[in-house]
Amino acid sequence: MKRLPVPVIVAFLVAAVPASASRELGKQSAPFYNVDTEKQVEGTIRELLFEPRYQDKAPFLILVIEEKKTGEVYRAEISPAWFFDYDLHKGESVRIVGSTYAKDDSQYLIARRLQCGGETFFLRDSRGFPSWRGGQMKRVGRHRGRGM
Amino acid sequence: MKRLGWAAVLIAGLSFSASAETLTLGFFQSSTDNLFQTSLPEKDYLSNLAFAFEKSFAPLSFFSRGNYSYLSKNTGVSAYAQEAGLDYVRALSEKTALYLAVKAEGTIYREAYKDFNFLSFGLAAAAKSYLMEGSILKLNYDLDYKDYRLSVFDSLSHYATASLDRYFETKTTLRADLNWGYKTFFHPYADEPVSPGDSPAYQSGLGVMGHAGGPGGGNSPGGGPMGRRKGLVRQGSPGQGQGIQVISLSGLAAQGIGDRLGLRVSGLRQWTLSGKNPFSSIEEFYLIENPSSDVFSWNGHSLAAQLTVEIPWDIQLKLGYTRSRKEFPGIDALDMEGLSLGMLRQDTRNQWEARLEKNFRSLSVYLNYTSVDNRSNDLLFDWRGHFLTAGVEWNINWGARE
Repeated sequence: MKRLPVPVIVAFLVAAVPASASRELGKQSAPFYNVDTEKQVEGTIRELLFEPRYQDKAPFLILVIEEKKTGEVYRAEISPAWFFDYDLHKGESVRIVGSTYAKDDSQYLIARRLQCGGETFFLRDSRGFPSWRGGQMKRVGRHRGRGM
Repeated sequence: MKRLGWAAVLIAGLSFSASAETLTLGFFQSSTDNLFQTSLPEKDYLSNLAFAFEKSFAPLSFFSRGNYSYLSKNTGVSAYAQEAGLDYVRALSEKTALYLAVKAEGTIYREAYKDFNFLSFGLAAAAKSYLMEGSILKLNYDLDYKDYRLSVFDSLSHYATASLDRYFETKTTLRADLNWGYKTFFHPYADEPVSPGDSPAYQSGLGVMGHAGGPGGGNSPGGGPMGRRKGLVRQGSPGQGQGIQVISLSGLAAQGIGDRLGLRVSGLRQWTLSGKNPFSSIEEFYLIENPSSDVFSWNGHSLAAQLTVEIPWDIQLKLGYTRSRKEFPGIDALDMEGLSLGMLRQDTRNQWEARLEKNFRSLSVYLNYTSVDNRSNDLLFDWRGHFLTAGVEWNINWGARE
């Protein structure tokens, strides 16, 4: 019989404590989610891309969406690539609620809620805080370390 | 000392949480009328308290998750599990991303299940590529090493998946998957048949869970420790290993119907290419991991259907049905006296599930109901069960809003 090495678990956890957690606090990446510029966009996915969006963060899944009513094109930021393991496809219709902003003559959308294929995904809460931070419990049975 | 160990783990976990920008707390309450999933049902109530957080350290991110589960009747099976790891995502191009992860996990059970205490170490790699014309190619690989207190369960497994799908303008998605896995039990045999929990400490600590030669013969409803048969570990050469290799093909068809309705139908066929289960029985417990039961322990097929509906007040409803037929290589079907029937155990399972989810500002509420009808040629595993879970998650944010 082997003895359970509880100290090993504790040592592992302690060794992995973020050394400078406060360094990150208060550091905002611009543009950030602005609830005052929220709108709903319904359109068709024209492209899917992986792009770096925030310094020191994993690349994000970006959808290039053509709005059905106006034909306007938005680049919609969905979430870090690891978080969103639902498979979206080029040509699919989506409805996104998110914060909009313009940059370099392009329209951008930071997605808070995404509807597609009869399913709804809450990517941020109503204040715009990301659901992927600490959100592993939402992925019950699909822990990180299980692919994208 | 044991309590100190528990406290240390909890404090360490909470210390991490304090340094995270977002902490997610979850509480789930479950009830079942068949905890050990046998024909001798046993009711119990499970409470789960969980936390999770994640923090980025370019180019890596650290993630951790802790879960304490408490069983109100079988308190000796209560457990704390802690997982932590680092992962890395890199965009190889605009269309392709690579994911790598390394993680460690430990689970500590109370006395009745302590032989299943384990530490594990895992690696994961995945690649996802958006191909032309609405197709996605995905490759996944997982390596999992597990070190149990009762060393007969020590194992190393590899599991790889290749997946290709295609979306059509009719809102239809078709997907095909090829899965392959190999698991090695390093030394699953013992000098003489034993069941986890046979130690004197176990018996004195949990007298109500005595064990006997066959189901129904002990003090517990199941007869064996926690409903199990005696002699889970077979007699053999202690140094001898046992490998199991499986391969499976699966397919999925998904159809969007309007904006608020989605239908998925999927099927899977799995074969055992080599090897067999080294243990004398395969046992599944509700929400409790059992090392004798996983994706490697069976061959057969399953069919599943799921309907997703967006109902009023932004509530998401999922209704699912799964039918499976599984055979367990190396596992004889036994009668109620524990004698072999001369055939392999075969189970046919029908499972219905309904799940509700409602998201509020920073709270998410879940309600899940599952009904299972498992028919088996081994009468101990010819069972029905009902499982109900209600849960709430609370996201607490105090960091920067991206």
